[in-house]
Amino acid sequence: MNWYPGCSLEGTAREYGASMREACRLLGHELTELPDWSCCGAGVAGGTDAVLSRALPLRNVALAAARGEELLVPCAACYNRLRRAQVELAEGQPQAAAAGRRVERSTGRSPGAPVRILHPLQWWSEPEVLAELGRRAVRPWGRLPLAAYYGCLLLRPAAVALDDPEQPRRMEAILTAVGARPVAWPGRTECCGAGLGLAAPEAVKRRVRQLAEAARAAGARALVTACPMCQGNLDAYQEAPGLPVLFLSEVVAGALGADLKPFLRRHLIDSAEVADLAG
Amino acid sequence: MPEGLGGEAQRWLDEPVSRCYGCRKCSGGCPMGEEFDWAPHLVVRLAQLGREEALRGSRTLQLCTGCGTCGERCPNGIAAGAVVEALRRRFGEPGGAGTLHRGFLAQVRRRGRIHELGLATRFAWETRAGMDRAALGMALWRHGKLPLWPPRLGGPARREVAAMFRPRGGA
Ligand code: SF4
Ligand code: SF4
Repeated sequence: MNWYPGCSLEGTAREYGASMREACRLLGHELTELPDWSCCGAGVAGGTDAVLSRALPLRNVALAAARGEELLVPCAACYNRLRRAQVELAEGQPQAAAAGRRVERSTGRSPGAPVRILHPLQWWSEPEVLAELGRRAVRPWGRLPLAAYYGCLLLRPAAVALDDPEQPRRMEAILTAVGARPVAWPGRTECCGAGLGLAAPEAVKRRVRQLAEAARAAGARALVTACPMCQGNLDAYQEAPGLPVLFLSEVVAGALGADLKPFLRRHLIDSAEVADLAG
Repeated sequence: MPEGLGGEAQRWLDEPVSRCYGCRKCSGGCPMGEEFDWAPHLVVRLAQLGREEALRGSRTLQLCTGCGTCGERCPNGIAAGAVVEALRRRFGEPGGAGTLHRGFLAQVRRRGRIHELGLATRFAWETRAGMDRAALGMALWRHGKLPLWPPRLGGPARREVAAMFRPRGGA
């Protein structure tokens, strides 16, 4: 399967990339990196140039369409940007149409060709994959209480929502399939503070404190996310002792038998104990 | 639409601000509302009145995360966050986030990909960031999260990306 790692999966979220590869391998899929992929622009370019903010993701959509029928995009920000630009282009949104022309002129490739932008949360929550996760879970999580945290970028705007934007269920389904016990808690779709960590750390700390308190009050032993920015903020800006913040791919890979130490040692909050709690 | 009631604003804001009836659902769900000087429903109201100049340099323009909650919940299909983004394009993005984002785009233009260590270093230099951020940087470094070497994207791909920054022929 072709995949788009994006910049953070090679840096601050490299354990997300590594555990994603491992989880997919244990599910029988080798990931092939999209050659020559470039930055999706994250949420940044839109504050300067509305056309560029669509052109940066569309270049990668065009590359992917030339290579296959689907592209796995584990970073929530990259998924949001690629999928959103693709939908807007198909709808004829003027800035996306201008971006499409810019991409064609600069690269000679067409961003309008069909390709399915797929996030692992979508893939792993399909009924047949849930069943397969259950079958292959050699080390299920022993009903460990975990807080599924979706954040913003997988659910909003509606054009990219891969689940019900207010009451999503897919991550809970995956956690249940691998033997954990998702808790009911109110922070699931709240914003973590996004890219403000460097510029406004105090604001991010307030967001993070609210989220961690809510997850803890619901009895969670860890938060689970599929977004590098959410994981980064919650891992870096919680007050000690923090609640561990796991990537969904780590939870899945662990249940499928992977050794989690090489991933978990990259987390700032000590998470080794959580791994030991697994069955 | 009557002159002065969002007519001018609508054309460049791209959001149907004249539909707003002030229910404040946008502000009720805004995760950053406590940090703002102008809550999301007031952003929409100012745009409606053509008085968006009041938002130049505001904390709202600095701190909106673009989380999309306002747009998801608005009963009238208005995304206050998209108005904020349009205002950043008009007025420039203020504060540390503006500094960071200019560095980000410069790096994408030059390298085609982001090198987080380089970006953070540039930000720290430009803003004379304090020791708390240096301590976080060290922690990330110790956990192997800040590769020293920038990512390597080939020349032709880099030039394609850079070319998308320079519109020609009125795109
Ligand atoms: S939710 Fe929509 S209609 Fe209500 S105040 Fe906000 S922008 Fe106006
Ligand atoms: S997009 Fe901005 S204004 Fe809208 S809810 Fe999120 S932080 Fe608030």
